[in-house]
Amino acid sequence: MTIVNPSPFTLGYDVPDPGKGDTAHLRAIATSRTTNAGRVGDAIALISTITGDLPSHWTGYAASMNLNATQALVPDLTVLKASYEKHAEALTTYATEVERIRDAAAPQAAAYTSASDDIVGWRSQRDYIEVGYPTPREYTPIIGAPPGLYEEADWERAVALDGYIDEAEATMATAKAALEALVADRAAADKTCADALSSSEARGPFSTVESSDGLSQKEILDLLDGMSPTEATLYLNSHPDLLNALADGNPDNADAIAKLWTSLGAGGTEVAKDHPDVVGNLEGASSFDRGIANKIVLDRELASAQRGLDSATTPADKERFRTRLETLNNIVDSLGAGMTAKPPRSLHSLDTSGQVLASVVYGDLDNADHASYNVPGMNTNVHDSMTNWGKDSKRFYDEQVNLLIADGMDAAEAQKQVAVVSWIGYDTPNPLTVGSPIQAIIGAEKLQASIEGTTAQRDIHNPSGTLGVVAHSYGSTTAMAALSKDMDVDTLVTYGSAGEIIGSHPELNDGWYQTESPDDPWAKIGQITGGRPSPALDPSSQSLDSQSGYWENPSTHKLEYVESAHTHSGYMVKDTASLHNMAAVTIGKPELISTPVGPALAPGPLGSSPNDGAL
Amino acid sequence: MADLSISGEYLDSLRSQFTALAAFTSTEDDAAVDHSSCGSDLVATAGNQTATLQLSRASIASLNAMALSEHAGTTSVEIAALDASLAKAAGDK
Repeated sequence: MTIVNPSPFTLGYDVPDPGKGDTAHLRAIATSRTTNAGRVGDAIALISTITGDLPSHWTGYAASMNLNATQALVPDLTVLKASYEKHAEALTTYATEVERIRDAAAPQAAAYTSASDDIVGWRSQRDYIEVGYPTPREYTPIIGAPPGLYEEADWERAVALDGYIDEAEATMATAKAALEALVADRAAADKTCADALSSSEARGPFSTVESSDGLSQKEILDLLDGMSPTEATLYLNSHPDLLNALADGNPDNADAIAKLWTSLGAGGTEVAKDHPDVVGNLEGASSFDRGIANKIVLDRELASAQRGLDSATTPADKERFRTRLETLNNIVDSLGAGMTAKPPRSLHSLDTSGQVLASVVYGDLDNADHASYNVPGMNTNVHDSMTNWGKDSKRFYDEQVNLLIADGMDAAEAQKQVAVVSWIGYDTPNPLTVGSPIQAIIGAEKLQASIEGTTAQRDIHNPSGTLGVVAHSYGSTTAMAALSKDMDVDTLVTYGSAGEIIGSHPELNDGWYQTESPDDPWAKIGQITGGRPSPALDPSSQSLDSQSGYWENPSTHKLEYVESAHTHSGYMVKDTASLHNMAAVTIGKPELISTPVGPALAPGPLGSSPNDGAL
Repeated sequence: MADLSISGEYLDSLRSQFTALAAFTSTEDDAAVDHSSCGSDLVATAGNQTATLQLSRASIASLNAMALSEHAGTTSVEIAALDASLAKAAGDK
């Protein structure tokens, strides 16, 4: 909230106005606090009704969870009610005192002003009298002076005016002293009110916790752990240095962040709203709250880019801001209806510090049974590729859902149990740099960090769920490097791989699959250019077919046909064997993999992808 | 299985109670609680900070109530699905 400087005192000297301020607005706020306190009281009463009725209607585990969670609302609401009441009391008392001071100040200010005006007039009159200052105590005619120059009547008038001026100055002094006393009263009232508004009764229990300066990360986490979720939220929000300290340890502390975030519950959303720049990319924070934080940052960056474009004066600046706007708007397009879309979409990560990097999640990443990353290759960036990479990822999501349904899962449930991260989280190479492993190695660190955060959340919310990575072209080079460290990932599928950096052998829980179309020249070019062997040559990998074939639908027990994938960018095309098979292994259903048929039965190309030619 | 002793009707009613609960603590416009015109920087700062905290507390309470409504709603859906499944199983016999 913006603090507006109060208006200056208007009497023409340096005593501030002791009665300044809009007390009617203060009373309006106090009234709204009282109303809110009443509403919270009603809420507490409603909770009493709910918890009283519930056991006679509903029993069992879910009922106990609901009952306990409902009862747990009462302490927070009690604190909130007390806060409203204290707030209303403090403002009402303050407004009354300010109005008393204002009433007392008004006549003093009027007397001061009146006396001041009188003095001006009397001094003006006195200046016209030919009697020097100070006025002589007795009349003494000037010898030899012409008649009328300085007569006794003038002297008497000068003496009288001097007396009036002295009297008015005394009045002013008295009024000023009274006003200064009222200023002191006002300062005391200000302090009393501010103290009341800052008291633990108004602010809540967290405000009594001693300063947390200089605490280690563990001490910070222990401190927060000792508070209720709401108090911990408010403490964290009011101590951004603590949040920054926790961010400094990220992603190594992702598990601790995930534990903290889970304990904050709904409070995590408040922290995300108040500190979006930190929470948006805080590994271990819930994907839901990160999405809220990143959307705030995205909207802010969009506004900033628009302002930049509006004020740009050179063609180069205009082009720069226009490109940035296009980039950011691609993210907006990918998000679509956001959390109300089906499946829900959220902005899982956003880095606008250099080239914009972003990842969009389709589904519930923290809770879904089967989560996957889709990692892109050369020339994939947010400006040119966000929308199409998202479409590929969404198609992969749909295929996984369809296979779960085919395997007997209810459709609504299947949609809840899949999540795909459309991850443009690293600076992909261009044709000149694709031979180098550098961007894969840098990208691998970023992918590792992201996976650490995701795993930390999923270990809490769905520890038995699976996590997969599907990676295209140079993205597979990046993913293999990332997973050469054991990241607790279950399945990796490389498709159209640009080759494996020697020594970056991936570690997987379940399996490593690779697929490559016979008519995909770019994979080979990438492998040769970079001197990186195909993952097909690694005995640890299993071949996953991308050619046409059949799979048996377990619901209908009928064979269903899948098409061959063609070219470097045809792997995620609908109805292809590659899409189907990648979906099957990443939901832990390798038994649904298609069996190839002979090349004579394979159809022609299914269409090209906008990413055709990407490595 | 004790959870199944509950009726979908009661869960719907419970859900609406939680929605009402969330409404009791719904947040308000920042401008309505802006103390800046009070004539004292000290009071304005303290008042606005306290109001911000109240907004956060109310928001958290509202989100928690909505989560409980969602929990009751989810349970309601699950029970409806189970009822349908049981009915289908009975019909199959």
